[in-house]
Amino acid sequence: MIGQRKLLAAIIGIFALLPLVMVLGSAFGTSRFPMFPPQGFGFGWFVEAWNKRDFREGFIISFNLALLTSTTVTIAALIIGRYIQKTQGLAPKIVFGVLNLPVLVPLIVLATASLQMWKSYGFYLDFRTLFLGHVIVGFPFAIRTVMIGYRNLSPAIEDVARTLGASPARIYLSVILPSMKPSIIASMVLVFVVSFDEVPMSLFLASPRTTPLSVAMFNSMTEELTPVLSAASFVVTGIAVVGMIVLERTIGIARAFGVKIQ
Amino acid sequence: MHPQTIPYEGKLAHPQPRWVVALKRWLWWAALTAPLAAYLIGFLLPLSLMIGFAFRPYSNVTGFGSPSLGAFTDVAASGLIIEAVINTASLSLAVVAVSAMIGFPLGLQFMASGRKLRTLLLIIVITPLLINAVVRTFGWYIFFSTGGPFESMFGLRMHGSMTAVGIALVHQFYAYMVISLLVSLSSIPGDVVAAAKTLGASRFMIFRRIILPYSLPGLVSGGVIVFGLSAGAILAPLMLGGGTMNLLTIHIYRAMLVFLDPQRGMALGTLLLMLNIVVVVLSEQAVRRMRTRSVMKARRSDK
Repeated sequence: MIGQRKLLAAIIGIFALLPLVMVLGSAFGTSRFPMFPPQGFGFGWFVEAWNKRDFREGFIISFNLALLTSTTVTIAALIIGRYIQKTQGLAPKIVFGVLNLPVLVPLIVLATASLQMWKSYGFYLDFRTLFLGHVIVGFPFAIRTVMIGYRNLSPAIEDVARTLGASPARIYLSVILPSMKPSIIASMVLVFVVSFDEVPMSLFLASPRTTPLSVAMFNSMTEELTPVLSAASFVVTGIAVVGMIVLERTIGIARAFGVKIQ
Repeated sequence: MHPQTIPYEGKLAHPQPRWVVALKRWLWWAALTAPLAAYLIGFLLPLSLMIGFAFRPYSNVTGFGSPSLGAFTDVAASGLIIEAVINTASLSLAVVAVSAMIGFPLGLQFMASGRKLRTLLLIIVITPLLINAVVRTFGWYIFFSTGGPFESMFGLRMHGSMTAVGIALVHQFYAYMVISLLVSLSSIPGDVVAAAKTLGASRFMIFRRIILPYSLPGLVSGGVIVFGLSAGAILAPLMLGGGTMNLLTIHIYRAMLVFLDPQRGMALGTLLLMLNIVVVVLSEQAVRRMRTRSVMKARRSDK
């Protein structure tokens, strides 16, 4: 029975990591076509990826975009989460339900619709339109993570602060926010990773001057497929791994994705 | 809840002027409505505009024409698009089915294992969600490429096939199915299964009569999520199918970014949205029907 369990875990583990192994392995080859197992051994593709302008510029854009998105969305989630936590009645429930709607709409539909909206009202695609798109994509992740923090707060500490005469602003800033630290960090990191890896929205809303890294990587695949892409994948995967470690340390990866089991 | 704490009702030590209080309240409402406004502009507005655009022909010369079903009749008249809808729906259903087939044994093993193995399993399941989608899909591309590992191992040519796309989609999304199944499975009281075992129920009976009914809500909500994500997936079909696959998302991508025919894109987008809504509504009804049926059955067996 124990053997069976371990076997299942091993199979699922191989399945989960298989594509990653393919990509990371092929980066060390010397052939022009990405292959696994790699042919030859060298670091040439890493140098080439580093020298590729699209990737470097894309990395900077993606990094800024992800940082800005995760900060904005987390602050917005803190405000709206506080409203949902403090207000009784139907209104906060409706707000929460409506804000979670994007989960049910395919991103490609939203991306198509946004592209057409900006175009038909004469807006040029730039960093701002991309940013708004990412905010919509990231928000459901942030509100879920932040609500975990609000629900875990003991109402007693707030009551104590109030009895001691603290103003509402003071209560929020020096009592509630510090005890929410893990879920705030988790929300920032989760939305950062989501935004950094986001494809459909970025694909449609990217402009020649603002092309995020994942779109640049996608383009490099359709233009000329070489292990340059594998080498660039190392950086992207590194960011995801750091994100996973931080998530696991703060609220746990599973809870960040909505699993709560004893 | 906390009878020992008395809400502070007395005067503040430093009474604030009325305008400060008003300003604070105003700031609070501004802080609350700003995200909601951004949400309106970024989400509800484009979607409603999309549905509007799909019904109003637009040309660069004459602007908007009168409302018409033109784009939809074009789409409905083309056998290609109807086939694309069928392909999209069946591919997504297959992905849902395979995800459930992985999800059930995995979930049951999860519930039966100790803390350490649980954490390990969860991390393994969730890892694909945090790896960049381009990287993941690229990995499957290498795996299924001509002369790649899969071909040399099994001698089967999968490059550019719908099966390859399906496998990549399962890898990408099955975690959502596992997550919702786990939430349901953890709600099964342990003694129910134990009682069934003492009464001599077979493993199949336990699955059919206890585990399946209990996990139905999770199965359905996971299925809806996985269906929506698979039907809306663009990367895997584009990268693994070479952009010639007859799927709705490919048609949307080509209408919007290759042929620059936005009205067609809008109509196709509306179609994909409707497909999703139909799936959500149908599955909700199915759950309701099954629930009432099981209640009726229980009543009948009481008599």
